[in-house]
Amino acid sequence: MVQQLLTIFTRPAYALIASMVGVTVFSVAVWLPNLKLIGTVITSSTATTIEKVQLLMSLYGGITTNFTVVSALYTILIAILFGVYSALFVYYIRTMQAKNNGAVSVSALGVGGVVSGFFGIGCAACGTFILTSLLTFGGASTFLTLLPLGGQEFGFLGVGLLVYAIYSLLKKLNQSPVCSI
Amino acid sequence: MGSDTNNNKAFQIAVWTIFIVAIVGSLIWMRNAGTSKNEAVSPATADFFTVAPDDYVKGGANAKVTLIEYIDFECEACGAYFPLVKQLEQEFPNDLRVVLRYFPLPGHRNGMTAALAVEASARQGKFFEMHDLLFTEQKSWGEKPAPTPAVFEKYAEQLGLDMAAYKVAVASPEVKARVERDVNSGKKLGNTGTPSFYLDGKKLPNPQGYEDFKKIIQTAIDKASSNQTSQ
Repeated sequence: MVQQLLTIFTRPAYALIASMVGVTVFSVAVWLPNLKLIGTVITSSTATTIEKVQLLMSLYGGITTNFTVVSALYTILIAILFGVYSALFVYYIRTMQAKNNGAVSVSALGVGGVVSGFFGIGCAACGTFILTSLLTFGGASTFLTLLPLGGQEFGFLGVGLLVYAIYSLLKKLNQSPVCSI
Repeated sequence: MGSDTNNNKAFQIAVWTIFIVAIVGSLIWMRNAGTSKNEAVSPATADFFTVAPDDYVKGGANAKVTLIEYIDFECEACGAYFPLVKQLEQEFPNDLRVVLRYFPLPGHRNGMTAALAVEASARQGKFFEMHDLLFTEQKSWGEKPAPTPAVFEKYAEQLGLDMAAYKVAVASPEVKARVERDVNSGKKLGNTGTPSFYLDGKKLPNPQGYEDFKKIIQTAIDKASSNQTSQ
């Protein structure tokens, strides 16, 4: 499976998808706690475009100041894993379509199947992670302090779910066609 | 204060340890889950790997390896493997022997009807012609809600069979018994679906595409060759 993962990601298109999605998820994570500030500056008529971009870029530094070592670690990991999962999902769909042109039909390849497939476990993983940021942002930090790891549970859950989602997808890719009794 | 710092450090170490163990564990789990090996079959079922005189065989009489395939003509997966097996036959004309056996699945309305049609065609020496035709045309006759014997009669006509003899054969208990013989051997071997492959008496997990299949066959041929040399 690890070998297969490496084979897929040596193809530039999939590496690009993974990088773009990973950067997007990471950006959301570091910008979300400063959403009000971003909103104020972006809509400001006095700030120049360069200043607006500079602000967004400077917020990436927040990963070392606004996050604990552990939360920074799982934030980066979730961004990477979500990127990998997204690229893998595209690869999976393309593989299934190729097989479908042959002889194996894939009934789950409708739009609904694709959407629910992607936003199933993958988004559940990302959702738990965004939930943590939103709870902190939304002033529910009192609730989070009641949790044994202060809300970091959601981050670990996100990592776990994404690892499982990637594993499930790889397993599906490895399944040979068979008609069961 | 000092005890708080120590507790904090211990907590961080614990979190990091769990985290690293989880990641390493996941990687090992993913790695192991992808590997599959040929499964040995019990000696009690070894007889089923002996090629019977009336088995349908392609390949060299002195082939080094034997691949037995249990098929259901209505099964899409069998249809997907059909060109692969054909390609293997061409790739290894002398070293590979392919034995085809019936295994119509109860869930396929035309599975048994198709098997009977092929066996009836075999009685007129046209097993492989009908076999190929049914897989080539599988999309047009497969997945129907009820058996459609007329479709197979059309194919029999297309192959130039004696239709009176064909119809008698399709309805005969001998033809049915011949199909059921394969079904029974497949059941005793523990088939859970189709196609089910057995390579030199060992269950072969369905390969991932042609290159994978070719590699498996080539390895078996190399192994058989080295065994012959050492004897």
